[in-house]
Formats: sequence, C-alpha cells, structure tokens
Amino acid sequence: MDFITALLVAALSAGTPLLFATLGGILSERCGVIFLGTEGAMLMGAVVSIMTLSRTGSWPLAVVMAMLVGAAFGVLHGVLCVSLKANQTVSGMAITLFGTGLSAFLGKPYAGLPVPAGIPKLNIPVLQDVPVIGDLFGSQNVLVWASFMLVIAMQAYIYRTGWGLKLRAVGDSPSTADAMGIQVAAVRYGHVVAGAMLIGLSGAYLVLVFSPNWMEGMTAGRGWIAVALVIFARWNPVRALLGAYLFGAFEALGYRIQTVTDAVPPYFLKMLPYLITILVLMIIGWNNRRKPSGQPQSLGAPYYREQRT
Amino acid sequence: MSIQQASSAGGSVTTPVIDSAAEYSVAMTGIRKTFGSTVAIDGVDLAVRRGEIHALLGENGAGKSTLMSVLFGIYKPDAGTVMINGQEARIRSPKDAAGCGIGMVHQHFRLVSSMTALDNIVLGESGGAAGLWRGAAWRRRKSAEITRLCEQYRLSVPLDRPVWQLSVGEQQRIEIMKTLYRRCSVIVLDEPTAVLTPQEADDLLLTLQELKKDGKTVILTTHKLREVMAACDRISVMRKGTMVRTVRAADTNEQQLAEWIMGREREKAEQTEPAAGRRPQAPTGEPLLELRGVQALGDHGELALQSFDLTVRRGEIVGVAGVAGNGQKELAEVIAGSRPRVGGEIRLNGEPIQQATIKGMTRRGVAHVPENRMKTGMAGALDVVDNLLMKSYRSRERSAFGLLRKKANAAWAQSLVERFAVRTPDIATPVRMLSGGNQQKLLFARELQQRPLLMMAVHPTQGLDVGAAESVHRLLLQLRSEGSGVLLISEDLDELIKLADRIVVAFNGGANGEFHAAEASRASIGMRMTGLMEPARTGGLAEGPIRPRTSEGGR
Amino acid sequence: MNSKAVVIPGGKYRLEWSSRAASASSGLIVSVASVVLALLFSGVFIALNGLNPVFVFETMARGAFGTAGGLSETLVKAIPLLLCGLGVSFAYRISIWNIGAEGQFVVGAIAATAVTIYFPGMPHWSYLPVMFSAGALAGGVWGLLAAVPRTHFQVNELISSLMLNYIALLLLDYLVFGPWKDPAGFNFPGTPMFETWMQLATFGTGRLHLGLFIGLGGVLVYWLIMYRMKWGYELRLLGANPEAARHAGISVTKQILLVMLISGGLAGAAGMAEVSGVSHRLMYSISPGYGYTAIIVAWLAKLNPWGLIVSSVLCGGVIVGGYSVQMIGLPASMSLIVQGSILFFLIGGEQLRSYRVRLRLTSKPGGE
Repeated sequence: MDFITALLVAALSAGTPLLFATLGGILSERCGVIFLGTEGAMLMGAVVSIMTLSRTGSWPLAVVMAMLVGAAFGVLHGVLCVSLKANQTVSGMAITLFGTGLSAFLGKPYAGLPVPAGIPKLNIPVLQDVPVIGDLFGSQNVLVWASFMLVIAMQAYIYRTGWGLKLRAVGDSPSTADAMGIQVAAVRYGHVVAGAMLIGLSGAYLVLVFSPNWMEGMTAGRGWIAVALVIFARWNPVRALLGAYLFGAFEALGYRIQTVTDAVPPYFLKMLPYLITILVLMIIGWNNRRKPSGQPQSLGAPYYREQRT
Repeated sequence: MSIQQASSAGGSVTTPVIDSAAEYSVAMTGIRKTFGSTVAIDGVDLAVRRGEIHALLGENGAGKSTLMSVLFGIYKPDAGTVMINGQEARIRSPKDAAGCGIGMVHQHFRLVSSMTALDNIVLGESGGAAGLWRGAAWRRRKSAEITRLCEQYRLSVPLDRPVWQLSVGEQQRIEIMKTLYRRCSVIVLDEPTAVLTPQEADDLLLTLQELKKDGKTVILTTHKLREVMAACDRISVMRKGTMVRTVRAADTNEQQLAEWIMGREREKAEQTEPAAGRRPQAPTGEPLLELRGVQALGDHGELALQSFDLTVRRGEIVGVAGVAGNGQKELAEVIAGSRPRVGGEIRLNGEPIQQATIKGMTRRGVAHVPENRMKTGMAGALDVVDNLLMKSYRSRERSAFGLLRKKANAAWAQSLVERFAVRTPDIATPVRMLSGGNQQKLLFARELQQRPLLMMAVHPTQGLDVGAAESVHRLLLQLRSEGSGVLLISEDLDELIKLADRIVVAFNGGANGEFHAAEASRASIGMRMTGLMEPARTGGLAEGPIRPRTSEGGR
Repeated sequence: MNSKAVVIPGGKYRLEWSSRAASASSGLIVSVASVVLALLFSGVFIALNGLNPVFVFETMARGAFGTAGGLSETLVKAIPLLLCGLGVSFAYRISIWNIGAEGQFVVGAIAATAVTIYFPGMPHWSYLPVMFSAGALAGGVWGLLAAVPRTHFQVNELISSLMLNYIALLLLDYLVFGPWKDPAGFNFPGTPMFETWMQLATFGTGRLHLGLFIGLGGVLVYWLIMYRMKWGYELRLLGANPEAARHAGISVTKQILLVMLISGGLAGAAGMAEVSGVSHRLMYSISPGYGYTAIIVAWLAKLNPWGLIVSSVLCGGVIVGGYSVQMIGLPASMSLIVQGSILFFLIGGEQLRSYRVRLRLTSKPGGE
C-alpha cells in the first residue's frame, strides 16, 4: 500500500466513530436539543461494550448494550432538558463529567486487557482485488457498512419522510408544530434518545474496532470533535460522512507523518485534529456571518406552550 | 390583549336572535372570559350563517381576538356555549377546533420559515404508513393536488421556495391554503389586512369571495371599515368586551359603524381632548430632532428606510402612524443609535450627528422606550434598582471610582418607585415579577429621570390595561409641557390622535404626509397609511399640514 | 400565575404546581440536597462493587476532613479548585461556557515554570511575583484564544475552549517528556525542582501553602467586582439580558473578551500556585482534572463568591476522599462520579425550584 492509500484506509477507520457520533448529534440537534454529553456517552458506550464482550463473548450483544447505555443518557438528557426545561449546555457538561467518571470506575478491571474477539469483516471477493477500492472496502467490518447504510437511511428519513418533516418542523418552529397537532415533547424525546444510542454505538466501535483495548478517557476529545462536526455538516448526514472522514484523515495524518519523518515532535502532530477543529469552525463562522448557518432555529431553547387558561 | 376593568362591562346591547340553529355554522352564546380580575369579554353572542363572510369589527382591545381564541380552543371560556352546524361542540384545543372544521389564520403566521410552502401545508397530515414515504412521486402528486386547490380559489402560492423568501402576502396565502387543504368549512382570519399592502389586501378580499362561492364560512376580525363594507355580508360590532350588534352590510354605512365601534366616547374624546392641554396652533419651539433623507437597511439587507424626513420640536409630541413594517422599527433604531444609517442626515439640537451610537445618543439626552420592553428594555431577572440603573450607572451620582454608590442608589430607586407609583413589593424584587403596567412605569421612570431632551416611545401602551395606558399617556403629556420633544411611534391611531400635535405617516420606509392635530382624522390618516393617497396628488391639503417628501441628500 | 394540577389516581388528592420566584434560601436547599442525593446515587455504584456505601463514605469523609493532615490536603486541593472555580464563575455569569479552565491552568503552570527555566539570574525576591504574573497572563491569553473565535467567528466557545485543553495538555507532555525534562531525574517526566525562592511558602501542617491567600483574595475581588463595581453591574446585566445590555450601550464583544481574559487568568494563577506551592516543579499530569471539577464548584456555589469557598473545600474533600478509598479497592474515579451526579441533581433541582408544588384534597373537606 502506498502512502495515500494507507492514509485513506486509516481515515476511514478513524472517521467511523466520529461519523456515528456526528449522526447521533444531528438527530438530537435536528429536533432542537443540543447534546453536549457526547464525550461522556461515548466513553460509557465503550466501557459497557467491552464489559459485555468480555463477559459474554458476544459482539452483537456488546453493541446493543452500548446503544442501550447511550439511550439511558438520552432519557436523562430528555428529562432534564425537555421535561424540566433545564439548560441544555449544563446538562451536556454533566453527562460528560459523569460519563467520564463512571466509565473510568467501571473500566478499571479491563484497562489494558486485549479485546477478545473482534467484529467480523465482510470479505467481498471481486471488490478485494480492485487496487485502492479493494484496500478500502474489500474487507471492511460490518459496523463500517452499517454506518454507510445509516447515512443513507438518515438522509432519506430527514428529507423524504413525513416523520422527518415533523422532526424539522419541531426543530425550527416548535410552536408551529404544536399548532399543527405534533407532539413536540414526544418528537424531542424520541430523537434525543435515538441520537444518544448512536453515540453509544460510536463508543462501542472505538473500543471494539478502532483501538481494541480499554483506556481511561480513550475518546480523547472525539466526542467534542463530533459536536463540532455537526456544525460542519450543516445538520446533514451526507455532509457528516465527508466531515468525519476528513477529520479521520487529519488524525491519521499525524500518525502517518511520524512513520515517514521525525522532524516534528509527535505531540504537535497529535494537536492537529484539535487545531483544525477550531480553524474549520472559524472558517464556517466567517462564511456564515451574513447568512443562516442551517442551524435548527429552536436549537438550545426549551419549548414553552404559550397558553392562558 | 383585550382586557378591561370588570366594572365597565355591560350596557345596552342588541343581540342577534338565533332562530334556527341549523342555519348557522357557528353560533356562540353567552361567552364570558376573564383573565384574573379583568373581564375580557362578557355575555357575547355571535351567530355566523353558513356560506357568508362575517366581519367582527371593533377597536384594539374590544375583545375580538379573545372571542376568536375561544372559538379556536386557545382559551377556555368561563361561561357560554359554542354550537357548530347546530351541534354543541366542546372545543378545548386547536386540535378539537380543527376536528370541527374550523381553521384559523393568525395575525402572526404559524409557519416553519426554513421549509417550503408545500411542506408547511402538509405538515400536520399523519397519512399513516402509506403517507410515510415522501419521494418525488409523492411530491408531484401533492404538488398537483395543492396547485389544483390554488387554482380553484385563485390563490397564487409558490410551492417550492422556502417560506422565509416569500412576501407577507404569499405567506398569508399559505396559511389560507393550510385551512383549505384540511378541508375546513369555517375559516377565521384574525386582522388579516393589518400586515398587507393595499394591493395585497384587495387580492385577499377577492380570495374571500372565492371561498364564499365555494360555500365556506369566513369570519374576519378587523378594525378597518373600508374592507368591511367592500367584502362582507354581515357585520358584528364589539366594544369593550361586549357585542354591540350584528347587522347586514347592506343595511348600514361607515358612519354608523364608526359610531357603534367608538360609542359615545368618540364625541367626548373629540370635544374634550384638545382642551386638555393641546395647543391650538402649530408649536413654534426650536427644532430638536431633524431627520433629512435618512436611509437604513432592514434585517434582510433591503432598504427599509428610504429617505425619511422628520422634525420634532421642543414641547411637542410628534406621532408616527403606519401599518407595521413600513419602516417604523428601523426609524426608531436609527434614532436610538442601535441601527447604522446608510444615508441622510440627523441633527440633534442643531448639531449634526456623524455616527449615532446608543451610548452617544443617551448622553445627548435621547430617552427610548423600546417596542418590546422585556426583550430590549429590561432584564427580568435583575431587581428594580438594577433595572433603574441601566442608563445612568455611568454618571457621577450613581457610581464613583468604578464602584456603584450602593446606598445612594437604593434611596434614589426608592424615590423613583414612589414618584412613579410603581407597585412592587420592594426594590429588591426581580422585575419579571411585576405586572406589565408596572414594568412600563419603571421603564418610564428610568428614562424620564435623566430629564431627556427627546423621548422616543415605541408602542408604549401595547399590552397594557386601560388604567396603565392612561398613566403612560399622562407621563408623555407631562414631558411635553416640560419642554421636551416626544416622538411617539404607535399603531394605535386613537392614541396618536389623542396625544400628538402632529402626526407623520410612515409608508414604505418614507414619510407619507403629515397632519396637524386639528386636521387629523382617522379617515385621512388611514388613506396615507395604506398609500391610497400620496402627497403629490393631494394639492388641497398640502399647503399647511403636509410637507412634500423630499429626497435631497443621502443619495 | 400559571398553575396546573393533576388528579392523583384514586381521585382524593390532586397535585398542584405553579410557577413562582425562586428564593435565595431554596437555592441553598437545592445545593445541599444535590450533594446528599448525589452521594446516595453514587452509593448504588459502590454497592454494585460489593462494598458497603456507608463505610466507603465514612472512609472518604475521615480521609478528607477527619485528621489535620487530611484537612490540610483537602485545602491544598481546594486552592486550585477555588481559583479555577472563580474563573469559570466569571464567564458563566455572562453565559459564556468556558470549559477550558483545565488548559488555562496547564499553560499557567507552564508559563510560571518557563520563568524559572529561562530567567535563572533574577533577584530572588522577584521570582514569585514574576511567576504569578506570567502564569496569570498565559492563562488569560489561553482564555482569549478560546474567546476570539466566539466573538469574531461565531464559534461555540464550549468547543474552542475544550479543544484548547487538549492542545495545552499535549504541549505540557511535549515539554516534560522533551526539552524541559530533568536530566538528573531518572527519566521522570518533569522539570528540575524549583529553588526555594521560587516556591510558595507552606504553613501549618502538611503541604498547605500561601496560595490559599491568593484564592481568598480572588474571592474578595470577585465579590467586589460583581456586587460593588460598575463593571460587575454591566456583567450582571449582560448575563440577565444581552439585548438590554446592548441597549444600555454595553459592548458585548468587549465584555466577553475581558471576561475570558480574567477567567483564564485566574485558572492560570491556579496553575502557577500548583507548581510553585505543591509540586515545586512542572510535571506530567500536573492536574487531576481541576479545570473540570471547577465547573461543579461554580455550579454548586450558584456562582456566589462565599459559596465558592464552601464548594471548593467540599470538592477538594471529595478528591482527597477519593484517594483514601483507593486503599479499600475503589478507583479514584469515584470522585468524578460523585461530582457528575451532583451536577445532575443541581440542574434538575434548579428547575423544580421555580415551581411551588402542593398536595391538595380534590374537594373541600366536608363538601361531600
């Protein structure tokens, strides 16, 4: 494999957890609820999946458990932000702190242990032999394929179904949606929970596939990068795919450069994704200064029905 | 909000006799609705025949919107019954109302601005599993279906553009389409022409005729006589929360309607008001604020203020009348210094203002009672003292060496609260706990204690009850008698006629004519507001009160 | 008043709730209740680990507050928490969600150390003031780096401040594993020990150092600014209603930049106090997450200056208590769980506080 191909393969691998988490963020933010607990929920997803896998040996169960623990955080966020109308930012910070702590607590016995049996790969006979594409897709694991499907499904769901229409209406104008007989709270709960499940799944991918052993705080800011990617993607699943692989590539680039030269200390190369996240957001902000960013208009605001009886 | 004191309800009213309930698609009897201790509407009957255009006429605050909100299930009435097509209906929510075939076009549209018209129209539709997938074929089908409806009622609606790109008239047509798409048989329009240009208003009236032809029942709340006479079959007049009477349009005329709307107070007002402190001749004070050809951009980058001319002298109240969206908001913001001016000239006290900033204009003695007091005027979570300090905390009396004079400020706040009779438990109470009237008094207290040269008040009595509005009026009149200039921007013509020495009409971002108090009448101002009459064409009036629109400078 | 009610199944009672003004005393109740509930909640995880929660909490409390040594260690942890907590409180007052105190703390520590490394020949008395200034300034600049994207490029400051944390930590790793590593340190990732005149003096028992007074001074300054100064008034106004603040002639951009400079500066000062007062050198993982715990400290105190003193000591105790339960087989991350759940109960309770909840008979007694 040449440098570029190796980089692409690494980008795909590093981009997939970002993709799941970004898609989760999109689902939640589309209905108007910011989910900033991504980092914590990812860590919890990771630790729960490794616990499940090492106890039962079943990877599908591990993935399901990761999604369930994500859902639990989604419900928590929903209770605080949709029902109690608490500050969404603070609730997200609480989830991140709590998830970081609890995952470290639960993961202590598993730290550094190798992950038993990984997730199966799909070997596609003919495709495997095509030069670059074969390296990329010829023998990719099932979760990567699942992420492709998810992008297509979410794109269709948001823009091509009645439910997606309601979702967008709730995110942009909950009062209008309410007047049209849509249950605003139900839509918000549903999508926050579904989004948090995907974030849990991204944690499972991280520990089962990407870097197969548990480490405290192993997400290393990926959750926050995913929050930034939601903005980069303009709340659109297909753009999320592009953004996730782009950031995956930056992450991979750091490691690749180390193999080629040692002129730059590795610490500085590791800073790349974080620096680029800020820079990209600045460029987006600069471009958007005179036009709408595509952000759901009720984002961050709890919905109070105006009514006097 | 239509709120009034309980004591003033009642009086002699004529109610329609409901002979055969089945003849009416809507029959409301004995409706009463109170908000706290105030009675909004009391004992109101309304009967609307099937297939007619029925106008609900009345002043701001007469109770029209409250009555319609009861019909649409937004408010639950304290007493009274609602019959729909002869059947008693229990309408507890907008959803119930939709179930009864009632559709409502609100004054403030309920549209998702980022979505297309088509999406907005089909939004509430559940459609079941079959309606879930909304691909190209579904879009084509719906588009054809809605286009057919549009053609049937001669409504032109661009279906595929996001709503935020559409004009107000187009957005209103989408709202109407929503009710038609849901096959509503009763369509209520709340003040539909308030936001429209005259041309759009005419189109709307034609549309209503189409609806009628198709057998729909249309209820229209308004306070504009012209369109009522032009388009409606029957008219119900409300005043102060009661129903005055219901008549056929053919049996009445504008004069008579106006009398019913205003009651006897109208004459009283016209006779007594000028005596109460208004100067008979034009004020001769020196010019305080002068605007020449001022231009400013609106929120969407359009030229919202196109060459506005205005003069306010010492000791006079100048009113700015106009339908919302004709540049009043931008005018106020330019003078306050919160919106940059792109052309023209502003002079304050004879001095040209190069670049107006909020801080600079405040220092020069411009006080500002903004349109939405809790949004821009006050901080609800902060207490009375902190809110009073907002404009003056930089002054020597309020702070020294970077520190606030805590004790002096508390005493000062206490004295202001007493002087302006603000009802508050104490000065450490967060202002969001105060009533709207007391918040407004507090705001006036803050703005007035700086002894402003110029007071700019934007919709100062909006949302206030009669008593509170009265005290706001007194404050403005007092300011004038103390020699300050007052610029009063309001949509309430009565308020303007009652208070202003001169009234400037804002239309399409410019000043479309000017009236002295003596010549001002609702009819003549109304024509300017709608652009039916432009200064160039009205030579007869131009000599005294009307200054031609000039476009010098600012180009 | 907006009031609602539900009839409890059975029909005899109904639960009524109506909105009301949140009183100051109920705020204190929420804070205390949150801590209690968070401990109960964390107890569940301890029990799942096969240990007796009561015993564990007793051990934590004794470790943190039970002995003079423990108490002194708790106060040592409370110093950086108090300073970082003050920093984030400044920002939260105007709804700027600075979660970058961790990074600001680290660069403060780095800058203070840089003074000791690059300027070895200064007069001895001048080191502490220069190190303090360097630390505070570096933290402030780091805060500005997070704020400028917000003010001029509409970047969410949560993301920018957090990304800068990772960058600061990588910078720290680079320095202590690389150019600044003590050649005589047997490969330990840390700089050489500071000279005595570069250290904040300790007093009392244990490692308690003069940084305590920097923290208490900070509280006084915070109180003075917020409740007595003109500038604090502007900040309170900005926090309560930015639009109204703009109409009072306050420049929002300027205030955000200023506040982030101060906010970062306080965290940077905490970093200086830590290297100069506790570790006496810059080293690998200088902070056990002080910058993140500071968020809890600030919320628990409801951004109140005096409350900050109490909450920083409490959270310092949770950290020290966390160390002491490691000996009975619980990971130190226990303290993070307690902290995170405190925040949950705080924000949940905060919302409930604005309702008056009452249980009433559905019909008047004797009315049947």
